Amino acid sequence: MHRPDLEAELERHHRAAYGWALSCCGWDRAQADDVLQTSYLKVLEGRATFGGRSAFRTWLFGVIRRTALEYRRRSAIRRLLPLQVVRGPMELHVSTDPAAALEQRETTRRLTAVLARLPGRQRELLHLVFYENMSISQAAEVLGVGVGTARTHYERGKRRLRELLGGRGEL
Amino acid sequence: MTQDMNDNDLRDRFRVLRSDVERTAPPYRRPAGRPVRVRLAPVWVTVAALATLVAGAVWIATRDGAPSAQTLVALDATWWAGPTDFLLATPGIELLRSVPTIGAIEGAADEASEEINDTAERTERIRS
Repeated sequence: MHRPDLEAELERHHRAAYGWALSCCGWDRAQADDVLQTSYLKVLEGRATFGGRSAFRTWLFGVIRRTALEYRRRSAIRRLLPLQVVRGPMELHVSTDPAAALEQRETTRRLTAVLARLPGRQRELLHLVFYENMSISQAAEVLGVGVGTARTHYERGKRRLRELLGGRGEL
Repeated sequence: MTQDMNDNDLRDRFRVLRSDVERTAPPYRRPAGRPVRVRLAPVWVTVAALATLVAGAVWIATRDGAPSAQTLVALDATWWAGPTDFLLATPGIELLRSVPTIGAIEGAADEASEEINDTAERTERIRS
């Protein structure tokens, strides 16, 4: 695939890739931005080569995930505190309805806080399935695991997510 | 049915999250900065540097190595023995100045006695 085609593909999947990078980086926007730029560089410089064996998005998500892992490995502090610091996930769009905006903000805050408490694999699977609308087999391909393993993590993650969302506490 | 409802609830939550993320996502920008990489010097630079080092080492070794014939003559001419040097020639001095090897003590003693004799003769010559 030539560079202009790669750039067009990256631009097309940019928003989804940004969401996935955020998820891989514990909703740390600065880190996610760095990881995304590094991943794009890898793709454009040919250090990560698309072989066409899967969909471009699936392959790109795999590159972003590996880059985020490398990024975290390099930073000892981030490795020690991978998901403890959940920053304000995003500055919400200011809605014309303040009540609706507040509710939306609360939903997002609560969900990201709960996701941060899940084990990595479970969080990644739930993100890919519910956020990206991927099938479990596609998600398994991104994560480089078998479909059976992915399904197990998915079920456990979903159960745990429901418990945490339904539970009372500091969330 | 309950499962589906729960899934729908989760999907709704993620949909809200996704809309927030997409609203605030920065636009795509072409990666401009290249990561800083440590570049190795080209091979010819390394080879040239090594060759220079070796040539320098050889030049220094040959310059400061074996003394020339002129130097040897000059050193020989400067040999001088003090009038009290014979006092330093004590019996068995060679044994004190060297590490004896097993089985070679006898020979070393002979060498030492010859040395003593030589020194005594030389001293006599100086006195006379």
